[in-house]
Order: sequence, then structure tokens, then C-alpha cells
Amino acid sequence: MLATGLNILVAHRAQKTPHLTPLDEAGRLAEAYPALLVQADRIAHTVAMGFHGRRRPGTGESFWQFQRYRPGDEAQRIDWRKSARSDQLYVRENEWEAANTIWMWTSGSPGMHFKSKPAQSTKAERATLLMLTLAALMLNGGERVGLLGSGRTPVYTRSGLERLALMHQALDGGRELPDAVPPRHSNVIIFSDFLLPIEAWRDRLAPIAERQVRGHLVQVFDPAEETLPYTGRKEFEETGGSLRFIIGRTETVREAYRERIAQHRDELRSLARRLGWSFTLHHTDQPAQQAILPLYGLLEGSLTPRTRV
Amino acid sequence: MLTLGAITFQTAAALWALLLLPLIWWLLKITPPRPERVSFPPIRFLLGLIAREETPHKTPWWLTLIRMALALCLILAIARPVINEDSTAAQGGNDPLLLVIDDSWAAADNWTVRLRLATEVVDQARSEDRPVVLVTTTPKSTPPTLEPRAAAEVADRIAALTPQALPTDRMRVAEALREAFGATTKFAITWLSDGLDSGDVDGFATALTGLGGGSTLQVVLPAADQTGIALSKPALAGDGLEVTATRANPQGTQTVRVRALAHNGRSLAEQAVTFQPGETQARAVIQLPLQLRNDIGRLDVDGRRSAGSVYLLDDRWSRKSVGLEAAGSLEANQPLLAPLYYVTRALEPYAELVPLSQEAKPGESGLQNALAAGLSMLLLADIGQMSPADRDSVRAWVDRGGMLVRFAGPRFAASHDDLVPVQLREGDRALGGALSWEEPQPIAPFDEGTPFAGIPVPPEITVTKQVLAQPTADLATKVWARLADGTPLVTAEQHGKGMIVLFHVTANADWSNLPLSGVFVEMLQRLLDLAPGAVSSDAGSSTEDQAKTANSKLPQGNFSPVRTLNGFGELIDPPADARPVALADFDTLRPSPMHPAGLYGRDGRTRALNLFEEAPELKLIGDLPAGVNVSTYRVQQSVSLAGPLLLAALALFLVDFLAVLVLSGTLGQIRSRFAAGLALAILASGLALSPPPAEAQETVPNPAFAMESALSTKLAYVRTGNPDVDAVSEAGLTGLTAALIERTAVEADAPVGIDIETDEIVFFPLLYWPILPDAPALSPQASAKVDAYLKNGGTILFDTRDHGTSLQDLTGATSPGTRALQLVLRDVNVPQLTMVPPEHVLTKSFYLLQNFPGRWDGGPLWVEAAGNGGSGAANFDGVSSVIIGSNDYAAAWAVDQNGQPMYDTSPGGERQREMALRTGINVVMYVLTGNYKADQVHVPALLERLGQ
Repeated sequence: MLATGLNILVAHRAQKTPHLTPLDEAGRLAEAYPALLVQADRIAHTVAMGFHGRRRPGTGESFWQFQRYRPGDEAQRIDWRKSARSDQLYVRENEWEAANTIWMWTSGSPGMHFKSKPAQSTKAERATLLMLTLAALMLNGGERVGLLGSGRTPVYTRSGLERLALMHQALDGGRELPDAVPPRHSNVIIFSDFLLPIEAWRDRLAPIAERQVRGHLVQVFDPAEETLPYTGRKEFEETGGSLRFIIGRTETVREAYRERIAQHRDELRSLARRLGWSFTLHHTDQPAQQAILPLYGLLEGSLTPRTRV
Repeated sequence: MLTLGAITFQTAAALWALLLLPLIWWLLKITPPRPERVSFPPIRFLLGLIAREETPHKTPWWLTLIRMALALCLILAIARPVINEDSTAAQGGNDPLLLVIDDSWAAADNWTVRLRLATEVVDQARSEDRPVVLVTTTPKSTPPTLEPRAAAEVADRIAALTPQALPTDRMRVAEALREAFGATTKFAITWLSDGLDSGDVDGFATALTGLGGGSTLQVVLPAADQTGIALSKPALAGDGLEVTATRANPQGTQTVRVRALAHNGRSLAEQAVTFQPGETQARAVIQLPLQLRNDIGRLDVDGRRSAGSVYLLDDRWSRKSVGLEAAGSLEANQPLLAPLYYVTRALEPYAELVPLSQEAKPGESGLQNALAAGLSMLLLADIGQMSPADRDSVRAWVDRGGMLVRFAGPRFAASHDDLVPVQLREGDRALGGALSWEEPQPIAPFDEGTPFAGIPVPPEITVTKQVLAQPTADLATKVWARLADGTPLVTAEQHGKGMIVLFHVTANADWSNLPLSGVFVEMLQRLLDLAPGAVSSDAGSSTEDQAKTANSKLPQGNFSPVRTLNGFGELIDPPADARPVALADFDTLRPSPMHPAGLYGRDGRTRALNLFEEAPELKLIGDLPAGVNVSTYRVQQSVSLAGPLLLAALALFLVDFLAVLVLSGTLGQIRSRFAAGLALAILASGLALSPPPAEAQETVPNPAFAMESALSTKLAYVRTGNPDVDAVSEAGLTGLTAALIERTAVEADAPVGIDIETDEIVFFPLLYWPILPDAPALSPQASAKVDAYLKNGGTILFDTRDHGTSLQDLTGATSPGTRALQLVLRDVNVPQLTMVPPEHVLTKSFYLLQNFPGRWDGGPLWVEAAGNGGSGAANFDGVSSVIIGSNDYAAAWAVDQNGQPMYDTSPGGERQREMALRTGINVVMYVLTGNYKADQVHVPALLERLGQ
């Protein structure tokens, strides 16, 4: 009886603390999805090979058209089988296929390291996990993934995920969205708790949106932040800050607090809508898969920001 | 020390801490309990909200109050307040103090009060700087020196005083005082009396006041109903014990409860005993069934801590014990045929039965142990020969009054020892058999004057077989019951102070249907009535007591003290100077310092020496000579308040703790965490309840040998001391073991040699025992060991090895080997033997054999005779316990290291060797498989019956 009790205890603990690096876990999560090709209305003119067909001849692997041989074309490019059916010489042209570039950013503010009782991980851990999972999927799809504010070029090989993770570790997010602006026609995914006032976000996101960048906002939220579950006399202190005060009966402010949070989120949503961006909410007490699935849809384009409210 | 009214503060300095209370008040007021701190990222969203809620910056007044009360309780508890009744000390004057304390059994009940008063008196003497002489009035084995001492020293001695389980002997003290001080010293005397007058109070008081030519005497008397209650010897009354209690104070009605306790302290019964006004004695009967009455170890008065209120019962009070032993060990399988089944059923309700054979341990006989412990009656069924040591102790026991009842049987008929009432003819007499003229005989009515007189004899009881007495001149006087044709059925003879009774039939239904009838029960009951009780009243005259002392080795030894009573009536280890008591002295001896009251024991028997056997006369101290101050013990209570105050502080602390939890809102979180805590608690309790490791078994003399022998089956031979013979035995068993492994499922280990005198033999299913012509007789211990081995299922293959060499066939005399075998087995209860009959299991247990050759051919093989009932009557599982051959089997089996035979066979041939090996294999299979192989004998018959 005792032995089984211990076994249960051990099993329980093993479940609670998985010994997986975020990288491993992201790889595991990504296994469940096919490679992600990010929807792109317009692709920036990059020479990087990718899978986004440009509907014009160029470097690529898919067949695009046959064209009469013109002097100056390289003799190697003559498609001899086609040419043999007629008297003409034909040159085979492939479609110009380019890669899309996705820039990601994860908030590194001290508040992101908050974790309440029912939550499974801190917000920062969850955001990193989501980011790496999406990056893995996109790299599989041949996209280029970069970290906003890192000052490094995007990675595009499948093995680049590791580099990305290291880059992310070294960068550690930063408190605020960096001033660095992504190139035109790229995609941006921002993971944060978005607890800064809405004005601050408006100011920060405007210059990015100006450059015809498609954006996705992912709000990672702790359930305690959502519901304010505390009761009684509590001293609240700002995580990583100096602000601190006592509330005599916390339950009395709960309703008002929830209203405020809801209002803030509505404002974020409307901001995203105005910019034509998407807004996704994820709670850390939910499994990460629950966030990956809608994000996958949004990025792939099968799910429009409009339908995801 | 600070005294405020009835309250005394023993550490008054601590009260200064009360001045700190206002400071504590102020500190508590400004430091409210700390709320739980929560780190919360979206704190800015809360910013505007808190204005609506006022935060309490002060401690709630009731919490402050609780904490102040807590502090107050602690401070007061440290000051150690005590509520005291004012006590004024007894005496004035400047003379040295003489403190006389009655430390008798009667003083034990209120001993603490006495000690406290004594301490007070001595304390006062100390404050007045007077020397003190302390005397106690019970007799001492060494009289203490009487000299004045400093009061402080005496105070220590008083604390160590305990009451004695003795009455006072005041005149001796008075004498000693007069010798020590005479007329020289004047004393101020305080006498703390026990309130009982044993007729010497006047003289004692006069002697005390006469010291120094006029000492002052203050006598402290207990209240009349505080004097002791004495219990004296109870009387056996119908269905219980009649107890007698005695008190000193004849006034008023008084009810006490007398308890009967078992030896282990369990309360068996309680009975109220009421003293009527004017009477000092009261009686009451404790109703108890017989079985429980035998368990009583002690009577005492509930609520009285005094040796006088205790009466110890020894084993004279328990019921008769009957030892049972029978030959043969069949009962495990077939209870209705068991020799002792009917006897056991008949005696069980009336006596304590002691089965003896089960108790036998190596090296000691259960019978002797039981006799040493004391038996009323010993019942032997079908035991012809006892080992000499057993026989001697039984004879001694009978001489001292024990009653020996024997039943006949096949073994008994074959040979019997001399412990029989009449001379018997060899063999038995069968009635009503095929070869007999007579009909089975009924029993004749019992004669007047025999113990069985008056028992009606039903005509359907018949006897088919009996042992016959030699007709001698005095036979008629010894017959207690006879058959219709006049042959004796039960004979008896006075032997020493005891008696030997012989039933000429078996104790089971083999020879007669007597054991099946009610007459048998009544006859045994009459015998049990005749048997001496285990109770002895007088060592010198009564035969009862002699029965208990039946031990040939230790006649009339002294009983040494085992547990003695202290004055409080508790059993304690005996003091160092307690002396043993001779058995004869128990009824005349009264407790004294050398022989304290308590339990005395020898050889597992106990005798109790009680303070009162006869009801004593207790008298209160009445008039004292003039000029003696009389006061009474005041029951003084000083109650310490520190404990309750600390308890209150603890309670307040818990309340405060809860309040803080509630205030800080932590309670809810604790509730949620409680689940995990509960799981841990369950786990911990699981740990605590897990079974303790098994206890070690009792020690075995040679654990390594025992372990090795018990773990694997192996053959064993008995070492004869002759190296050649032993080598042959070893080689022979090695060869046999090899053959067993090769041909059968028996995977025996290498054989071992056994020294029959010292080694344990219970591990081996079969012993091979070569008998040399000069083999010595067995020691009594070895005989007993072999006897027990055979009875419990072991088998011994004796080999006299002399068939080819002896000339017995020509001269008709027994060979030296056979004589040696008889010598060896002289004291072993050997069953009736027969040559292996043609259909015996030995002939077909593995191979089908007609004869059993060894190195020689032609010597017969003897096995236990299989009574009249086929395989069942032999031994355990129908296996003969003894197999005797003379063909030198080991030599035929013996192989050398290369597996080659070592000795030629005679007349010779490989076939004879093969047959010898087969014989060995058959013997081993026979021993190991028992009646399974016997059942196999019936397989053809069974198949035939099934219609094959």
C-alpha cells in the first residue's frame, strides 16, 4: 500500500515538472502540425528562395512556362524534350518563389515572470514556447523567421530554430517593443501581456503598421490576473516595481478590476482591428496547443482576423 | 514569596513584569497584523479602485485585549501562584523534636498527608534550629540508630519514607528510645499515628512522655473512617468466594467494593461489602464461575492503597490439573480413535488438562516438567515402559500422594514396568473373537465400598479384550470393578501416599465400548474426586500438599520471595534482605522484615504470604493518658495555579493565531493546502501502521547445523564411535543417495553422521543406526530424544550387521548384536515388532521386493506390527517407526570415490547388490511417502471396483 502511494506521488511529481527545455517542447508541439506557410499578400523582394510563388518567372522549383529560346539564354536551360516535339527551341522557366519573413517579439517585462497557483507556467515561459513552436512550423515551411530588435538577420534553415532560441535567450525580450521597425511587407507576431496602457501600445504599433506589415498580437495572460482570486486583507506589490499598497478586503474590488481588464482588452482588440491585425488571447492555465491551433489558422490565412474576435 | 490572601506567589519578582503591560498595549496598538503580500503584475489596474475601501491601520481592540490577557497569564504563571490553606505547625518549646511516624499498612492510605505534615513539623523545627530524632514504628531487620540530627537532613529522609506491609511494633520502639535517651533528654514529641490500637497505645504514650522525665507528646490521629480496612483469607462458598473485610471504626454504615483481579491485573469481579453499624466485620460472596475463580490472583479493596486491603491467592486456589500422555501419535489423523480422545472429553469440564507429549523439548521430558510443576493426577494410556528418569519421578510423585491412572493397550500388554497395582499376565485376553469360546463380557455392578459404588451399569457395555491379573491372594482387595465373569476391570493399589489405578482396557474404544458410555465419565469423575487437590493446607499432614512437592530432585526446598507487597499493596521486587520460607512454615509464619508479605515461588509454584490470614481485630486508638495533646490530620490542599494559567495562555494564543489567520485571509488558502497535508498524514500513518519486523525465533543450540539440516532432505547415520563402521555407514549412505538421485525423485544431499547423544535428530526422516555388539546403553536424555523422535514420525533403521557372522540359528540364543540393540532400546518405548509381512508397503513402495538382502542375504527385516487395522495402527502415516535388520546394508550400498562397490556381497553376485540397493530405495521411499504408498497398494482393488 505504501509503495503504491509512493509511486503515485512520484508519478504525480514527474508530471508536474517536465524536464524539457523550451526548445525541445516546442519541437514536440510542432510535430503535431504540418509545415506552416505564412499567408502573404505581398512578398518583399527578397532573393531568398522560398515557397511563395511570385507568379512570374524566376528562381524557383515549380514549373512556370516554356519560352522560345532567345539568343543569350543559356544553352543549359533548353528543355530538349519540349524542343524535340517541334522545330523551335524552348527554354524552361520556373516560377520565382520567394520566402516570407516573419518577425517575432516576446515581452520580457518582469511581470511576464508571474505565475499564480492554477497556472501551469509563467507567462514568459509560455510566450517563448508559443514563439518557438510557431517558428519551428514556419521554418519547416521554408519561411524566414527573425527576432524583432535582435539586430540579426532572420534564420531560414530548419536547423535555424536552435539559433533562434539562443538569440532569444540573449535578447531577453526587453521591456518594451524595440524601436527597430521590420522591413516592408513582412509579418510581425507580438507576444506580451499588454499590460501597458493602451496609449503606449498605440504609439508603438503605429510605425510598424505604417510599413504595410501584417501583425498578430498574442496576449498571454495569467488566470489570476484575469479573475483577481484573492480575498481578505492583502498587500499588493508591483512585480519588479516599487509600487505597493494594501487592500483591506480584496473581494470588494474584484468586480471593478475585472471590468477594467475587460475594457483594456476591448481597446486592444479595436486597436488590432483598426490596424488590420489579429488579436489572440491565451491563458497560462490552458495547454499551449490551445493557442497554437488558432494562431496556425490565422497565420496560414484560413482564419481571418475578423472571424477571430 | 508574596502572599495575597489565600494566594501565595512563589516567584514574586516576576510580578514586576506587570509594569510592562502598558508598553505591550501601546506596541500592540501600533503594529497591526501583517497582511499577506501578493506580487501582482497588473497592479496598476487596481490603482484607482482602492480609494473606495478604507484600510484598517489599527489592530482591532478585541485582538489587543486577547494579547494583553495572554501576556498577563504568562506573567502570572511565571510568578507561580499557589492557593494555600494556612497551616500552623504543631508544637512549641525549645526541646529537640522527636518525630514518631507509624509507617504500618494502615498508614499507607493517607501517606502523602502524613508526609506533608511530617515535613511541616520538621520545617518548623528547622526554622527554630532544633535537632530532630525520627523513628518509625514498624519492625526493621536492622534497628536504625537513634540520634538527633539536623532538621534539613531529616527532611530528606522523610521524603524517602515509604509505608511497610507490616503492623506496628510500638513497644519495641519505646524500648529502643528508652535505651538511647533514657532520662537524659527531654523531647517535644510529635506522633503521627495510624489510628490503630494494637493494645500497646497506653504503654507507648506513657513511655514517650516519660522520656527525659516529662516530654510533651502531641498525637495526630486520622479520622475514624480513614483507618485501614483489612482483607483476610476468603472461604470457598458454593459458587464463589466469601470474602471477609475488617474495619476498625464500628460506627456507621460503610460500603467498600472488593475486587477480584486476575494474575495479569485484569478485573474479574467486584462485590460491594457493607459494614453494618456497630460491626467491624463484613462478609460478602463474590460470585464467579469456576474457571474464572481459578484465575484470581489477588483480592483487594477498591480505592484503598494499603497492603492490609490486599489478599494474594496462590496456586493452592486453582483447580486440579491432570497430566495426559499416550503412546502412539495417531491422534493428529483420526481423533475418534485417538487414545486420549474420550478421556479428554470426559475430564475437560472438571480439570485442567496438561498434555505432556507436546511439551517435550530436546533434553528434557515434558512429564518431568509437569510433575515438577505439580499435578493432581497423571493419566497414561497404553504406555508400557517409561524412561527410567520418568519412571523415577512418577514413582516419587505417587509416593507423595499423586494419583496415577493407567490404561492398558497393545504396548502395555507387551511389556510394562512395575508401576502397576497388580501383577499382570503377559499378553492380553480376547473375548468373543473367532478363536475364542467366550462371549464379550459385560461389567458387573460395582461393589459397595469401591469408589465407583452407586454408578448404574448399563448392560450394553461389553469388553472384548483385556489384560489379565495374576490371581494372587490380595487381588480381591485391589479390584474396584470387575467383569461379569469376575475378572478385574479396574484395579488400584495404595502406593506410598498416592495411588495407582489401572484400567485393564484401553482408553479408546478398541478393546471395549466402556469409553463411549456415560459410566466412563462418572468413573473418571470419581477418580478425579479421589485425586489430591492442588491445594495444600498443611505440609506435614495433608497428602494434598505432598502431591505438589513431588519432585525427586528437590525435596522440601524453600520458597524464595518472588514479588513482595509494599505498604501500598503494590507488588514490587523483593528487598535484598528478604529470606526464603520453608513450605511448612507458610501457615504459621506472619510477615516480618525478613519474610515480607508477598509471593514466594519455587519450580513454577507459588505460595502467598499474606498480612492477614485470619480476620484481625482492629481497634481505634481510644483514650490516651492525660497530658497528651490530640489533633487530627488536616487535609491540606495547596493548589498551584501556574498550570491553569499556562493552559489559558495557550488557549488565548490559539485564539489569537486563528484571529490573525482570519484577518489576513490566509485561512482560505490553508484550507486548500489542507488536502496535500492530509495526504501526507495518511502516508505517515501508513508508515506507522506498517507491520513491525518479525521477531527472532527462539534460539536453537546449533543454528548452523539446524539450518543446514532443515533446508534439504538428507540421510543420516548414527556414529558408533568405531571409525571403520562409521566410514562404511558414510560410504553406504553416499551410495544409496547416489542411487536415489539417479533413479527416483528424491534429491537428497550428502549424508551426515549424527552423535545420538548430542546432536539434534528431528531434521532427518530416516536414521541408519548400525548396532555394534558392544554398543553402550543410551543416556536418559538420549533415550527421551529417541523416544520423542519415534513418536513424532521419525523412523530408525537399525542394522545389527551380524546375520552372516552369528550362529544364532544354530544355538537359538540371541546374537550379541540383538542383545546390544535390546540394551540400546531399553528405555525407548518400542512397539510390537513383526517380520515384514508379504503385503507390507515396504515390499512395493518403489520396487517389488520379496526379500531384503544387504551384504548378507536371508536376515529378516522387522517392522512395527500393524495392529488389527491394516496400515493405520503403526505410526504417523502408517510408517513403522522402527525397522530392524541384520544384513549389513551399508556395506552393500557402500561405494568408493570412483563409484565402485567397496565390499563383496555374500553369497554374492551383482543381483544381490542390486537387490540391496532396491531395498534401500524402498525403505527411503517408504519413510518419505508414508501412507500414500500404502494407498497405492489398493490401486488394483480400486480399479477392479471401478469396473476395469
